[in-house]
Amino acid sequence: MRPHDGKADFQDRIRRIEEKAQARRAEAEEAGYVPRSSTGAARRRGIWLAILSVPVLGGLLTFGAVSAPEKFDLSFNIAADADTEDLPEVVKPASATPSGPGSALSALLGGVGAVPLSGHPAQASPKRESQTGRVWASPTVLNDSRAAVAISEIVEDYVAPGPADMLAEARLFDKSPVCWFKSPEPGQKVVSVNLEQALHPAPVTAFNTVEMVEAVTRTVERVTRKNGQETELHLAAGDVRVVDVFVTDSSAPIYLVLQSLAANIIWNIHTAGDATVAHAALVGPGVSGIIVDSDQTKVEAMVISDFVGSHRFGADDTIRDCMIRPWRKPRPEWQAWQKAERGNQLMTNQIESYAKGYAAYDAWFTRVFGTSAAAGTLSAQGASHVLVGPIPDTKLSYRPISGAEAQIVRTDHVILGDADTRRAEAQAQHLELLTRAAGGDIAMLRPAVQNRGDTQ
Amino acid sequence: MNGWRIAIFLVGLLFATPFILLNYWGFQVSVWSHQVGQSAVANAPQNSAGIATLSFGDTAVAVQPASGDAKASAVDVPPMPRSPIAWLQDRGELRRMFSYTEFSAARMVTVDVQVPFQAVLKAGERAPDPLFRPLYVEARAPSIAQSYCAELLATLASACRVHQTSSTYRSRDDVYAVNLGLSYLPAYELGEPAFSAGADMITAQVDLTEGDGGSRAPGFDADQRRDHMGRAKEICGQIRAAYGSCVISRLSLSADAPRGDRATPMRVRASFKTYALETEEETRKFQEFVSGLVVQNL
Repeated sequence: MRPHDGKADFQDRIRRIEEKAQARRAEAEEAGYVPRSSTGAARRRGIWLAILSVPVLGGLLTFGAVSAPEKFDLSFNIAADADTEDLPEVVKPASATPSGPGSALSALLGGVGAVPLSGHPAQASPKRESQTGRVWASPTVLNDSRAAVAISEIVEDYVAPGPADMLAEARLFDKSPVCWFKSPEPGQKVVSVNLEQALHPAPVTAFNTVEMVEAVTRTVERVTRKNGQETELHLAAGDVRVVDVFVTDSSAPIYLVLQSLAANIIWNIHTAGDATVAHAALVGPGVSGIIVDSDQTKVEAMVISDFVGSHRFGADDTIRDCMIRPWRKPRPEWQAWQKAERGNQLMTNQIESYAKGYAAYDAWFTRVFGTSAAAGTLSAQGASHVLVGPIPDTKLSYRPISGAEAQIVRTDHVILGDADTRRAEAQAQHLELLTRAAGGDIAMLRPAVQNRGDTQ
Repeated sequence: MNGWRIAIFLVGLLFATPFILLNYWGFQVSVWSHQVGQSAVANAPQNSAGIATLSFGDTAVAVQPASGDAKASAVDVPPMPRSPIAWLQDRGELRRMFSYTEFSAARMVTVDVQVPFQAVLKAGERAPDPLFRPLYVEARAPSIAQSYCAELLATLASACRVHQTSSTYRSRDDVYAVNLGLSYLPAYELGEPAFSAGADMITAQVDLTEGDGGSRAPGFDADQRRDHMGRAKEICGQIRAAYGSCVISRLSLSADAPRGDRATPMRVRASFKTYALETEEETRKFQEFVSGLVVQNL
């Protein structure tokens, strides 16, 4: 009889159990069954990550308390200490190679009038409904019927704007120094388009000198007031957007009033065969522009901030001359309206603010154009395209902004070109001012350490 | 299998360490609160019988006997024990404070001056449009700050670095109020902090220009500034002799804008730090000691 060997017996049993388990796993895998879910694996990884992060955090905390020489004695060598004398470069802009001479259309220093943009963010990812109304993102077209109309029903060869777009030319024109526009002539039909936001970027960067000085001051302060911890070159926003406007209404010469509460917009106007745009009046927070088919279209523009201070709650409640901030009339389909009806106090205040602002704006609008801001208005929180008139029987030929000639409100700095070129040019202009302000050498924003031996 | 067990034990220990430390700290806080209670007993004998019953055996700490006048009879309340995390953070600050090789915001000389815009322009440089002027001053303030480094290097610093600067336009006087902060490496003996329980950096703030009876001429010239820096260094040496350590943690020099042709006197404030028992009584004594040195060194 074989002598009893407990250890060997136990190992034999373990081996048999392992073989059975392997056989079961093989069967399961053949049947397409995955025994461990990926969710479980992710959870386990998360747990381990949390466990391992504890000693890492502890190590970092301790590291701060260890003296500099001791740090270098440690096996892991961390080179940078904020207080060492080996200081990094002061300002490191992105590889800004100034673009060709034609890209900076104008740099008209001195004619400063506007205050900085209101700072509303451009809507990057449009949604269908917002607190203050519908967003008509491409391919839908904002239109009078409020029904869904696709861009393909209006034009036959639509091309969405892209980062490589470039305007062929921009003619600058002066904004209105007074807070009224030319009155519509008898027989002209006033059509108002009022958007809070626009959805597509235009190949234009435009900012005034005040904005550039503010951005450069921000750059300097981040270096000088925070012990030089930050070295980012801040740029004036200069964001400009484009909205297509298709005019098919041929019942009368159209007097277009194109308004935007928060976005700098270049309005890309297309007219159907027998429709005409006699006049275009632009109201916007900063730089506005227009692309029109005909030289017969008269264009005027006003910058909101020339006449109305920056918005604060209640600031626009009073009916007064020159209250030209284009508030939209609240509507029952707005989410904010519906929430206000359900008792949401924040939304109640917002609706009230819009209503009072609109009343003040409407008073100015009615006085200037002889008709209410609500009449014939195409209004939305945001839009890519706007249709003024019926869907055309014959589709229009689409004229993309790329290669077009635009008229743009004169601003100190207007830069044309593709996205990379514009950014590089804007950086170069900001850097030039920064260098001038620092006395010719931006390294002086963070002077080198002086040692006793240096001066003796 | 053994490897896994060790790994799990180590991970568990890592998790447990903060709790162990915090529990130990909690125990220290309990002891401290008992000490405070004992102090109250000493100050209120009529209640001592009742409160004394709350003391617990070995952890009870002897309270210093009350003595002398009413002010001195106040029993020194020991500082509350620091949490392990606060202690760990403080070590870094303390190390930087006593380092001869690391710059630190804990050792700063600040200069507040009023400058007309023309003063920031280079020789022959044309003044820009007023829109740009605040930016110019802000961007050139570090250069202005660096010009004061020579005085620091001649007196109390072995190295000087521009730490931070800022400027504000004052329309009333048509000048820019410029605040300049310089951090420095000391060129004087700091001494050695004698580490002990309950000790930390204590501070005395003094006005070096107070009490001079207007004997100093008004103005803000380099000689006067160097003189004050030298005095601060002198006072710090005397503090070190008495307390074992001293750091000039802040020296603030300021002058208002001249009134017409009349220069305004300079004001110089200084903060001295030493490593000592961090109690209200010790801090008060240190303040009195330093104030006395200022008068002696007038």
